[in-house]
Amino acid sequence: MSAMAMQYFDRVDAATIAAVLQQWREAYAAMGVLALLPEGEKEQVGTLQRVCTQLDVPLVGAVFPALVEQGVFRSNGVWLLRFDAMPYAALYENVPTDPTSLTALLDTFTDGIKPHINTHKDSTLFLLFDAMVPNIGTMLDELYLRLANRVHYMGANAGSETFQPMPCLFDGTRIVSNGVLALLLKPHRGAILEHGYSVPQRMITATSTVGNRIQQIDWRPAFEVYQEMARAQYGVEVTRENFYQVAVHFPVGIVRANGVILVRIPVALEEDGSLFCVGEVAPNSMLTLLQAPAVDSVHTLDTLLSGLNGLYGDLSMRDLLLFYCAGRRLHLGVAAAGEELRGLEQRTAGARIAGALSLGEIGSTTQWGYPLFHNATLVASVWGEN
Amino acid sequence: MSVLYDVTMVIGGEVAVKPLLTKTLQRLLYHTSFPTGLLFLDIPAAVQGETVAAQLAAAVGDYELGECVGKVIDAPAALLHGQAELQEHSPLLAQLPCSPGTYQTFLRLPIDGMGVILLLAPETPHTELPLTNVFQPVMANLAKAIVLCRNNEAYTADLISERDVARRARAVSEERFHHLAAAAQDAIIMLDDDGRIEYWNPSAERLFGYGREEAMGAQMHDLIAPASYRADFARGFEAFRSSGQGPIVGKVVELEALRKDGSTLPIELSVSAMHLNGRWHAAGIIRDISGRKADEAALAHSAGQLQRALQGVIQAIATTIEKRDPYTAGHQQTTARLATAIATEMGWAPDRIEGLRLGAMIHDIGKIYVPAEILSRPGALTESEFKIIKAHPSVGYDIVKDVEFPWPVAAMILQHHERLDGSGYPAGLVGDEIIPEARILSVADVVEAITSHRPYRPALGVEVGLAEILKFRGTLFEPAVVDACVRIIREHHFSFAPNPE
Repeated sequence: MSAMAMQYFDRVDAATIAAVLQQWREAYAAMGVLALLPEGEKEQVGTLQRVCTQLDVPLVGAVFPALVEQGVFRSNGVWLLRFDAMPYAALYENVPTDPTSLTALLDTFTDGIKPHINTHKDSTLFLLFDAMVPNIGTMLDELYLRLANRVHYMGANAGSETFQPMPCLFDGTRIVSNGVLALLLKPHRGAILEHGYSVPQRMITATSTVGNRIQQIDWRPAFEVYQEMARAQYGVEVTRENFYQVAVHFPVGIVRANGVILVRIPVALEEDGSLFCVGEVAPNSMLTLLQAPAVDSVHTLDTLLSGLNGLYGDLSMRDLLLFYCAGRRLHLGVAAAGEELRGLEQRTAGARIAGALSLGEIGSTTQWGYPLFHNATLVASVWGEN
Repeated sequence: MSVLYDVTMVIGGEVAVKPLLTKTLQRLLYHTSFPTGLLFLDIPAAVQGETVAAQLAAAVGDYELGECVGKVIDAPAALLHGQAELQEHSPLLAQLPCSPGTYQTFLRLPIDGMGVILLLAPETPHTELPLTNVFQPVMANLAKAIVLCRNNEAYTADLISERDVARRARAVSEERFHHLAAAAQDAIIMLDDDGRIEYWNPSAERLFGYGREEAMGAQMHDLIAPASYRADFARGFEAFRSSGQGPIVGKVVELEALRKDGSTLPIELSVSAMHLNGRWHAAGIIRDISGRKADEAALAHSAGQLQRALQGVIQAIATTIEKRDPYTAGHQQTTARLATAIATEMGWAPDRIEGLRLGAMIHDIGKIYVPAEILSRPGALTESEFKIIKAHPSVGYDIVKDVEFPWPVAAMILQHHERLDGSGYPAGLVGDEIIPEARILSVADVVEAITSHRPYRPALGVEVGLAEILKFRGTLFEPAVVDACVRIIREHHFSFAPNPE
C-alpha cells in the first residue's frame, strides 16, 4: 500500500472525494474505503454513500466525536483510508444483550468471518462499535473463545461525545445504531494499546454491578464510596451537581493482577447512586480511583511506540491509524492531550497519522494478549501493512 | 491478594464444570495478560516415559488447542507435573499440538491434585506479582469447586435421565394413542376448556365430513350439534369447565349429530373428563349407530309381528274355550281387561301389563279338559266334579308350559287360584311365593266371576264382588291389588260390559 493510502479532506465535497477515489481505483481495482467522520459532519454520510455507490467503491465507516489529523483534533472534514483490496466486512445493528440472542449473533458473526481467516496467520479483527452497546466486554470474551489466536484484536467505539444515541456505523447503503462493524485486515499484525495510568495504593471492591453500571462498592451505594475516595485521596468534593464536570477527571480503574489497570470513565450518575461507566465492570472487580497526574504521558508514548516498533519495525514514512480516547482528552485536558498527539508525531519521524477521538478502545498491551475493552487509552497500528 | 477476589467469586458462582473452567481461565488471562490458558483434569500419575496422555478439559486463546478440548492429548510429563512454576523459553512447549514456536513461556498452576492449569505466552507478560504464589489460594478453591460441580452435574444428569425416561414413555404413550385413535372405527374428539376441538381423528373426518384442518380449533357444538341441542350443550359445558362434571360426563348417551352436508345421524356418545394443566378437557368417543338403529327398528317390527301372531293364537284359544263353555263366554276377556286396569292403576310397565293381559286371556285354558256338561250344568257340583274343576290350573299349566312366552304365562295360569294365606290351590302357595301377575289375576278373576252370570247362579253384581275381595283383603288377596281394583271400579267406573273390540 502506498503512502497515499490515507487522505484527509477538510470538507466533505463529493466532487473532490470522487476524484481521489477514481484515482485510487485506477491503481487498485479491488479497493475499498474506510471513512472516519467527526460528529459535526454526520449528515455527510449520505454524500459519501452516494459517491461510493456511483463509483462502485465498497464503503464502510464510522462517526466519532472528532478526528485526529496532523497532531490536532478536528471537528470537520473526513478521513478516507484506502484498502488496496476490500477486506471481509460485516455490519451488524442492534446488538442484543440477552445471552441467547447474543449467542446467535456471535454464531453468525464467526460463521461469516472464519472462512476468510483460514490461510493467514497474521490477521486482525478490527472492530468498530457504537459506544452505546453495553456489552462489548462480554462480546470480546466470547469472540476470543471462538476465534482465539487466529486473529489479533483491535478496535474503537464510535458515537457522540455526549453519549446520546446516534446512528454512527455505516456501509455503502446503511447507517445503523447499537451496532458493530467488523473488518478482517490481512495481513496485519494487530495494534498496541497503552494508557500509562499507574495504580494507586487504595483499592475498593465493586460488590454489585450490572453491565456498565456499578451499583455498589464495598456493599455501599457506589457514589457514596466514590465521593469518600475523591475526598480522601485527592481532596476533591464530588457532588451530584458537579459530577459531570468533575468525575471525568477521576476515572475508576479496574485493577488486574499484573498491575495493569483498565480505565472506566463514569459518565452518568443514577438516582440510586449507581455509576454508569463506558464499558462493563465485572462483579467483584477490584477498583481504584485514578487522577490525571497519575498519567505518565512520556511513558505512555514510549511504550506505545516500542510496541509498534516491535510489531512493524521502523515506523518512519508509514501510515499509522490512531484512536485517542475522548475520555482521556477530557481527563488530561485538551492542551495536554494535544501535547500527547504532537509527541507521538515527533516520535514517529515522518509517519502520517490518521485517526479519531474514540469512546472506548479495544486491544491488548502486548501482541497476542487477551483482548480487553478499555477507556482512556491510545490504540495505534500501522495502516495497510504489506 | 485481594485482586484475586473476583476470580474466587467467579469460581464460587458456577455450578457446571465447563463454564467453571472456561471462566476461571478467562479471569486468569485477564489478570495476567497471558494470551492462552489450558486446563487439564485427572492427569495420570507420572509413569515411565516423557509424555502423559491427559484430557484437555478447557482451552482459551489458542484455536488449535481449543479444537482438542475434551480429547486426550499427549503432553510432556514435565509440563503437567510439578509445583507452581513460571518457566521461560521452555522446550517443553514445542511438544504441545499447536503451531511450533508459538509459545516460549508457561506458568504452571497445579489444582490441588485435580489437575493443572498452564498459562502460555510468546513472551513473559510484565508483572510485579509473584504469579507462582499469588494464585495458590484460588487453586485450592477451584479444586473444591470442580468436585462440587461434578457432583451437581451427576445429580442433574440423573434428573435429566429420569425426565428423559418419562418423556420417552410419554412419547411412546402418545404414539400408541395416535395409532389407536387413527385406527379406531369410532370418532374420537377432544375439546379444550373453551369447547374448541383440539383432537379430531380420521374416523371423525369420515363420520362428519370435516377434515382435520377444518375441525381443529372450531367450536365442537357449532360444528356437529344440531341447532336444537346447542343451548343445552352450551349450558352443560359451562358447568363442565369449572367442575369437570356434567349431565352426560361418564355416561353413554344416544343423541343426534350433524354432518357437514347438513344431514343428521344417530350417535352414541361416551364423554369423559380430563384435568390437564389446571383446566378441564373433554374426550368424546362417538359411534355411528345408524346401522344399529335400523337393526333395532327391524327387530321391533319383527317382534311386533310375532307378538301380534301370538295374540292371535291366544285369542283363538280363548275363543275355542268359550265356544265350549258359553257361561264363561267373555269371562277371560273381561278378567283380562280388569287385570290390565288394576296393573295400570298400580303403575306397572306396559310390557309387563301386556304379559298379564295375555295370561289372563287364557287363564282358564285348563278347563278344556273339564267335560262341557260339568261346566254348563246348573246347580251344585259333586265333590268329584269339583275335583275335576280344581285341576284346571294344573292342566292349563301343562298345556302352555313348553311355550316360550316372554312373560310367565304358565305360572299365571297355574297360580291364579292360589291365595295369600295358602288356602288356594293347586299348590297352596303363600305370600310372595305367588307371582304378582297371579295375585292380580286372582282378584280380577273373583270379581268378574261374582259379577257375571253363572250356570249355577244369577249375576250377583259388582258390589258383591268388591265386598268379597275387601272381606278377604290381606288374607286371601293382596291388599294393594284389592285397593287398586276398588279404585278403578268405584272411582274410574270400570265397565264390565263386553269390549266393543
